[in-house]
Amino acid sequence: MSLTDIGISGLLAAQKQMTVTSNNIANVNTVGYSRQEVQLTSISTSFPGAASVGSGVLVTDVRRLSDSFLTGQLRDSTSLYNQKSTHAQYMDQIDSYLGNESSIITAGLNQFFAAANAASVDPVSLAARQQVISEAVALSQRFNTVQEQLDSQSRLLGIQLETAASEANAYIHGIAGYNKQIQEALGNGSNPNDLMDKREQAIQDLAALTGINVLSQPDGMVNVYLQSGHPLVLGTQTNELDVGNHPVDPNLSGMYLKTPASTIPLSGNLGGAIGGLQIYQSEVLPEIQNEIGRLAVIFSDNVNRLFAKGHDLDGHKGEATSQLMNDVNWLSAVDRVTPDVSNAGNARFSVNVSDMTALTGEAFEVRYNGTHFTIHDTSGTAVGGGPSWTTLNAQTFRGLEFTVHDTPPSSPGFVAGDSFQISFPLSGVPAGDRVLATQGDATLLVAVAVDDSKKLQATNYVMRVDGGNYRITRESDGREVASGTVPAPGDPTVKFDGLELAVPAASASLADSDVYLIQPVRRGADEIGVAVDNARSLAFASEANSPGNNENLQAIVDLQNEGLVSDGIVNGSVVNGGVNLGEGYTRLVGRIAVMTSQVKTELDTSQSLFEQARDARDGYSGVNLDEEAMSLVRAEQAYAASAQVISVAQSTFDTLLRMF
Amino acid sequence: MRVSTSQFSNRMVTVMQRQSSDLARTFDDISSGKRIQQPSDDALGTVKVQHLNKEIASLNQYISNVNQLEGVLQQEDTLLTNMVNVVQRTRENVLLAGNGAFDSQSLESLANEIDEQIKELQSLANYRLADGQYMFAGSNTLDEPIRKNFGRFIYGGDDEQRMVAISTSTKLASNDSAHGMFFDVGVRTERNAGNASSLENIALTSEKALEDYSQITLTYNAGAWTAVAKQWDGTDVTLPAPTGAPLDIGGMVTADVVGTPTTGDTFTIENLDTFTALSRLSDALRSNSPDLQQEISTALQVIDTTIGNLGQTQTSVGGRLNTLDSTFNSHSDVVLMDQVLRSELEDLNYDEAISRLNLQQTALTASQQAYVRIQGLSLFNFL
Repeated sequence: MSLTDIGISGLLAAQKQMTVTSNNIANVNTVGYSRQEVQLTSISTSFPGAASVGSGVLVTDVRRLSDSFLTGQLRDSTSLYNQKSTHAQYMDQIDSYLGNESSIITAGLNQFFAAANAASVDPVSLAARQQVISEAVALSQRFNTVQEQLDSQSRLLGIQLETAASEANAYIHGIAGYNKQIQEALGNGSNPNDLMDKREQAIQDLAALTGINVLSQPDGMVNVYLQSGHPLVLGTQTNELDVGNHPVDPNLSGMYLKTPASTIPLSGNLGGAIGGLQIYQSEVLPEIQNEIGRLAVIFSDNVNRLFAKGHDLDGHKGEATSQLMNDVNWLSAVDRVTPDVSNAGNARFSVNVSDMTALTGEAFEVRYNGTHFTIHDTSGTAVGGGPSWTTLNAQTFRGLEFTVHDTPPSSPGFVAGDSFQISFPLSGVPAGDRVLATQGDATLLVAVAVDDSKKLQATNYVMRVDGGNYRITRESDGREVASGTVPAPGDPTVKFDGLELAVPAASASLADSDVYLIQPVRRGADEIGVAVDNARSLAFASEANSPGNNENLQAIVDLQNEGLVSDGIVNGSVVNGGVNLGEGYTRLVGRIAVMTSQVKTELDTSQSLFEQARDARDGYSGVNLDEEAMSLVRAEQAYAASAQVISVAQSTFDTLLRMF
Repeated sequence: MRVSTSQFSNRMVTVMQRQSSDLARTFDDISSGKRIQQPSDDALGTVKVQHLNKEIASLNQYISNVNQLEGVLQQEDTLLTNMVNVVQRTRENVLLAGNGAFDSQSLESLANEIDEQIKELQSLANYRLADGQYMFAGSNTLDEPIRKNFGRFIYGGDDEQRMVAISTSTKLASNDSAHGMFFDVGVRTERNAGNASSLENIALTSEKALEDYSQITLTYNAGAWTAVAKQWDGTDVTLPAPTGAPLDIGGMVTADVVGTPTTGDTFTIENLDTFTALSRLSDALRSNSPDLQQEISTALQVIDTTIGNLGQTQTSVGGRLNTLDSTFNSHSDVVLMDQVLRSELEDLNYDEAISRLNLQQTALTASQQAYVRIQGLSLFNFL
């Protein structure tokens, strides 16, 4: 082989090295770029002999320095880091929100009880009474505001999940596209280093959104799977992520995998940022909503129970008009009976539930003709009645009962021609809204009323019907709390955890494979509100016609320190009561704070894991300018030397020529 | 170990970011003066702080109850002192009337004076607080407690006491009813002039029940007693026939019958009150009634019982004021202690925070300088 040829091969190799080095230098700041190096081989002679020498140098490959172990590690730590950081971000927000002076429920409770306490010194003062109402309104607003905040977080989570899913889908398509190009490039013998970098970057970006596993194929393509094993990319085929309704809980978002053939629900956590959103939405948010809602229900229930026993400033017995808070189960008492505007009498009575299972949810009208009462349904058919207020007092019809206040009614009482509208709807009231059909007849009414608020748990329940039997399980610990044959109309109510479940008479019956989600307190903080508007109506007195009496109010003041909030489940049974309302809230704040600091610690750990993995990957694949400078100098020197070889070859040839 | 150029920047950026965020956090601490910015900074501390806040809030409410109650009770105390003074002066007048040396004109002027004193006492007992509520009417605070009805005084309130919480375990009465002071002074009987028998050792078995009636008329007829009670609105209620020895009259009063009762014997029995007893005396003085001496002795007895009742009430009010005082002190001490505890839990230690700030600042500056140095290092500079 001639000296010239050897020299040229060296020249070419050095040129290639300089090109690759300059490319490395140019990409020093390119994200995901892996440095490349030139692979050189000496060209062996075709005729080996005793003194044979090689015939120059050959560039065999431009190698991309990438280590699948290091990139895999980076991918996994990226998923973990993003999951924790998304989770921590939301936890941090709710943690400081719940601990914020202006939003904390405890402050509202303190102010309400302070107002009640102040009124107990002077129960006749209208200003002090009005203050009790105002503080009750302020407290309800605090509850409502927390609920709104949680709701808006929930909405934001849904939107973020959708954004994350569509972003992930873009990467999934990207990876499939690169797969195709890489396979083609490899097929026609070219070197797709840059495409591989781009694909690797797309995989990293996808890993930030969801946890994935990657398998390389012999043809240069990669397959990407979710951690659950569902495929996202198979060669050039793709499946998309989709956000829809959660299969059981409509308050949550559910993740689905959309394949060309079908849509598969993805259970479990997906990992990555999507996984972080999922954990927060399905574990943290419902817990807070249920706990806050439970406090609201317990507060309203106990305050109303006490007020119903007392007498107001005008000597009327509590019951209807003095219900301070909205009813925790039905329409508020004040809205149940509407006296006709043209009534001449002043009699008052209230309507309560005597038998939940017999309720129909209809409206009724009570008419008095001077001697007899008649109760009519909406079609005008008489469903009950009697000759005097005593019979009206004892009247039960369609699951409802009457209580006449002021017995006997003080003059003029009931006057001929008086009529009253009775409304007692079953849907659109808390008891009806607590049950959601997830599989089965959505129009079937199942009502869940609060029976004993001291036993309430901050959790949801699921009722499944199978083979004519129902089973109710508590979501917090998965235990079965009630079971039996499907209740027929007229059967006693099903009682569990301080709740009472009934399928009202108006309804169809539960069918096999029906699934209902029962969320007893989920909307509690939303539904809380103040029902009374007149300060005179507050039933502070324990006896009629003693306005200065404050015994009933004292009982309300004592609620502040009473253990009304259940301590949870011990050995499978519900603890009756436990801590007071303020303590119940503090307990929640404490629990969220512990969870937050825990997830922050996890975030720190995952962050340093991520940084280590990134360093390891960059250490191996990243460009070092000093190193490149040296390569450049080396290649430059090699180039100069090879050029010198050519010049020597030429001068030897010239020397030879000059001899002739 | 191989280090790539971008790694340097990445690492320096991460380090500086962390240092800046630590610095910002310290700055937050210093500007808010709080050690706990959000519950997760110290979950246990937050729970303790919230407990303390709740305790401070409820103690402050109790303190405000104590202050309000103190005002009311002090007012009551003053009124009771005035009442005792009035009754004492009346007692002197009654004693004067009893010495027998006064002529009818003097007696009349005494009667006038006693009438004035009755009015004064009535207005004291009917005292209205600034918001129009009657202080001595029990819990029926909107009705005038002491009124004249059918020629005698009646009590229109009830004898309930309103309890006010001044600590989690203590409730104190904020009022006393005029009933216990003026309407719990004895029973009075009147014997028909022609009676063959008389009643002695009259004792009240149920004052509460007798209160419902203005008087009970006891009549002997053909070997049996009958009793008719008159309600305040004037309607008559026939009581179960009184029997036994002593005679049990409607479960309200017992009395020994002296002599042999004959048909037509009639007695009236009524619950005595200070106001009616005094106004009867003043009537007797004015008319120079033959029963004057008896009225005087009844009146003296009633006055002494009244003074006793008032004294008892005043002692009880004084005792309550003492309790309020000591409760106020203990509440204030606990609030102060709670505030100290809370401050220890949530307030920032400035010395520590400032030195932390300096340290963090120095570290950040050092990182920045190091970054500039390292960035300047490149082999290319020497080619």
